Amino acid sequence: MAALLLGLTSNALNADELNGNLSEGSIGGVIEVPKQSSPVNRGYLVFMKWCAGCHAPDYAAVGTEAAGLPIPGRTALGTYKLRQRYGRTLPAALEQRTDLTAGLITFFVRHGANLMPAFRKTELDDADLSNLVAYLDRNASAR
Amino acid sequence: MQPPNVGQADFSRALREFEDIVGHDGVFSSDDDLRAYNDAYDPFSVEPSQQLRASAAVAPVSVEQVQAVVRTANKYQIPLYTISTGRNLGYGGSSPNYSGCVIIDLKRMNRVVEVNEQGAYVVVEPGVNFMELYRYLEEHHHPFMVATPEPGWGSPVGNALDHGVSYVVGDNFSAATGLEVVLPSGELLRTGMGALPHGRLWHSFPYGFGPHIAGLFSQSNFGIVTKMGFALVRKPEMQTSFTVSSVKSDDLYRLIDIVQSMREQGLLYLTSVASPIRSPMGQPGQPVDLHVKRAKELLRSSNGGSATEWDQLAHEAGVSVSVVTGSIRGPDRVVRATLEHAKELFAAVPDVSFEQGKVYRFPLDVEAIAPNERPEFGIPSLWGFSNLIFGDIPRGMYFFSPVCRATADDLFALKQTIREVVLEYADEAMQDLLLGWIYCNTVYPKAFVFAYPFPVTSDSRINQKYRDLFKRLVEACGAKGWGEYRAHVAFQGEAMDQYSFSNHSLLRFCETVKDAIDPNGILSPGKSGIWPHKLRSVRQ
Repeated sequence: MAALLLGLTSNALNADELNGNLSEGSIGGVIEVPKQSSPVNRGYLVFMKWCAGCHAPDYAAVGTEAAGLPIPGRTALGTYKLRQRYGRTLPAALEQRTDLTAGLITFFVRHGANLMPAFRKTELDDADLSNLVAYLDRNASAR
Repeated sequence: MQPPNVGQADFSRALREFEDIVGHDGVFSSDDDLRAYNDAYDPFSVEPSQQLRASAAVAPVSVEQVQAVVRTANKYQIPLYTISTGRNLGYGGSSPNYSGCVIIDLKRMNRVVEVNEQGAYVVVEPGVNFMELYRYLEEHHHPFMVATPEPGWGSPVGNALDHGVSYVVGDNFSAATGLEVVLPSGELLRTGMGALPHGRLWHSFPYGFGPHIAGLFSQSNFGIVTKMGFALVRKPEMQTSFTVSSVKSDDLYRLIDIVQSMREQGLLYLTSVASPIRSPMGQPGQPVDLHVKRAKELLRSSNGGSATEWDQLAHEAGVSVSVVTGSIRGPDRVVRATLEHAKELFAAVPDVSFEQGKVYRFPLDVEAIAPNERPEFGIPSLWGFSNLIFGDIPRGMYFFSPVCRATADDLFALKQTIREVVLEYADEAMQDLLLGWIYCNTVYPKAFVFAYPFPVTSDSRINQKYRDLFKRLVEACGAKGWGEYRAHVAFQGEAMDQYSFSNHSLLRFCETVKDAIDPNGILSPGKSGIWPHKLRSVRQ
């Protein structure tokens, strides 16, 4: 309230993601920034910001009627389409995949596919892309 | 690709100068890098000769760099096309109106310049997207909502300048306060009170002194907006909605009158209208019932079905014919009183049902709200793309976006005009898409805006037929006063052509301004159908 009365003004530049407390989430909302700045953690932030809104696992928040929601309320577009394509042979949610290679991820990010647009380097630069690969490839030892 | 009428040597020199201004990693000219600037939902995706393509892209990080880029473009007569976040999918994305433009990509101008809690406004650069603004407000504990449209990766600046909409404010340009603009000469201008040496009132008083010119920079090519202020909406104590349903078609007149009168009094911040029985595609995910066939037949009949026929079908199907909704937010007691008032008003219409929606209290439990509903609470998301799950649109779509008055008379009349064109020229798939009732959102207080999706297919002949249909609809609706409120970059000329009062005096005025302030015609040629003198033959 004090800030309100004083007409608090924020002039600070946007902080670098790993220096801040919160980061963007394309599911809707914000996420906490991991304390350690590893490529995997940075890639997690990239995924949550640009990819999760279409590629997250199904929404199933505790205490809601998620199961009774219409499909668009429960399932993101990319997850739905990949489930249609792969059935039970591969996980529909990208974070659960163990077969995603750097080449494949780079191709889809820079070319897009179907309704997914390509991402420009001004949105997601090569360092972001490299971190995203580290995050999505983190389970690859299981391959 | 090179800019038209620019020699290879000059283009190379210009690219080097752009690099001197923004750095090597801020200029993109390889085919690989430029691919991402193509319209992801290109209406000409299988017709390469008609595709709109950029020759390069430049990404400044400061207003001074924007000014320098513009001066260089003037020096070499290179056309520029401005994007803020380039995510206006369905209206062109990051694609220019004119092939060969150098894209001036403002995504890296991504500062939240100021949040003023007492004044309830924010000033942002054009590269900030809704999700980033939301994070900033939350991180700094500012008590405001974000006026986001469904996809949250767009820019508040770009969205408002294109007359975009949100669930929170509705008409986002109406929330704009002051603008900072780089003019085609490279000079810097601030609108309203921002033009004073000390712009303390820049975002607090709309006009300043003299002509109010902020609107000149929306849907135009008269300048590059580098900062923009927006009035913010404080998070309320409570947010809820109501839905009023009737099984009688004619009730729609009274329901709309009541809900719009509440909107006009400032009691509701959004309203919407629907006719579920006239939406035989149904809500996504819902099973198709036996009455769908009959509903489609009625929609395809020459008059769209009489009120009696719809009432009968609705009775048999157990589906509502006439539905309106109203959205309320504010202090607990005010919201409850508004709901009671609404109930009393609608009780005057016999046999309608009044259903109060779920009550949401702030601070919200975000996780408990389905992701595709979060934008309704000022929480940007990309999950809204899930609404495309059931559509057969692998190559995307562009929108037919007419506006009508927020009355049942005008709504039925618009639907009838669309029907007449569709029955004569559309195939079965497009008939279903265009005759079914999609929601009419009165994000604008006195008007319904529509966004009919036109799918892009893998068959160029079908795409050409759809484009012909689109143009016929734009013309038929335009002739009756239902203009497009926004349009894909490839069709903005058609949209503007309908605004023909007094021998197209609006367009001629815009062209006069364009030639006066941008004599080299470098800024976004063709935007909204406004071409500079030297390219006016392109339009013809």
